[in-house]
Amino acid sequence: MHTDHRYIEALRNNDQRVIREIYRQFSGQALRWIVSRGGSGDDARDIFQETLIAVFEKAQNTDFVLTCPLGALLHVIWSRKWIDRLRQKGKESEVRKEEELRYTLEVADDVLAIAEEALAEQTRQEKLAKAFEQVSELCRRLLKLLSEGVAPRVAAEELQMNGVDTLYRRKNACTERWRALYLEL
Amino acid sequence: MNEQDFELLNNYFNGLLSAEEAGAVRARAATEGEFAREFALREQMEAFPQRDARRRALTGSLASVGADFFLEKEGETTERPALTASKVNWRRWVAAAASVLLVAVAAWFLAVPTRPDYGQYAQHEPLSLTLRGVADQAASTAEADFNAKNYAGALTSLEQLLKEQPGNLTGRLYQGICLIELGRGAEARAVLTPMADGNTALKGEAIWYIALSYLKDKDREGCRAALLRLHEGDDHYEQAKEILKKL
Repeated sequence: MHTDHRYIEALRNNDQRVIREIYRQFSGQALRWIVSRGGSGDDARDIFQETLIAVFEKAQNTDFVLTCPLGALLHVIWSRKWIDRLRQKGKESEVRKEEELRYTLEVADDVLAIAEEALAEQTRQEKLAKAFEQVSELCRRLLKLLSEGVAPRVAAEELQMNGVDTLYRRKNACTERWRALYLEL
Repeated sequence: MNEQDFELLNNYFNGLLSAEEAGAVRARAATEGEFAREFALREQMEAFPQRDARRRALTGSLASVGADFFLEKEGETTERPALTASKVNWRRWVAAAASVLLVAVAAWFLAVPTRPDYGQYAQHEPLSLTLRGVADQAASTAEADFNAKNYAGALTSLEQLLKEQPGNLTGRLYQGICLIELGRGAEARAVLTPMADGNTALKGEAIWYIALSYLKDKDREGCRAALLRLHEGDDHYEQAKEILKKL
């Protein structure tokens, strides 16, 4: 376990004191890196925040233990996010240049692997969220209640359903719809 | 995956299976590829609402903390403690001095360099201007020359670029670095001081290079005064502390 693992715990627990330390420690590097490539302070702020969310997504796997310096991991993730942002803006020549630079950087395999997993997990969660927004209001309420651990009988009453069987039938239908929307994305 | 499998997963995640049946589902999820993928997706969906709530809470914290570290325009951290010169406990120092005298003498005879040296710290990041959307001849030439350590050539191109884009901070910073490398420290400081005194994203870099320009000119007091302006969290803070100890 790397000593920076405490930052992972801070992201898991939303520990603002240590999160402030993460910003103090690493945000300057992100800002300088992004501004030196023509990005703005706002770009840097957004990308740094998205980077930390990606690490949070990876950290939701309770078995995950950080084995590398957090700074190295953040750097790989924010550089990928910057490339994505250039791509979204249609700046293909700049994307190619950044991609070429990427291969000249020496990054440890474990750092790259964690970064890839974090980004993949973030993408998956974003797709789930997008699909979730498209299911009905009733489905969202039902799924949230059950996820919060509300007893099925209580949830059924709350949602004015005839009973637990109806609740489960509705839940299965909501899940199926949500899954189908997710797979379409 | 067939309809029965989906029904089985529904029952599993609704808690409607016996312990034995649930164990059999987990065993299949550990060995059967397609079933495993579906099981993993369903697990994520079940956990999603709570995870989403945690993510939203974290996003709120990040936005709040981030606002303190990235100002709207150029971005600069706030309210950070400045570097302070170390306080010296003279009594302790005198006592310690005797014990380290032999080491110091040995170091002297072995000609171990104890003073910080400009070359030791002058590790410049490669110049990259073309991503700023000014991929013209001057920018490309400046990049190529600077990265090849042809500072005179890079300086000429940068000056040309800065005539057209006087607000190009990266160009201005590297103009200063070129001047330092060419032994024109005073001119470098004249270029870098407005950035160091301002509130731009490259403020810390400008201060750092002003300090290095003094170091190169062997002006220890100037170097020290500049380094003391760096703050915790600045990229060169640790190096600044190191130099301050050696000065």
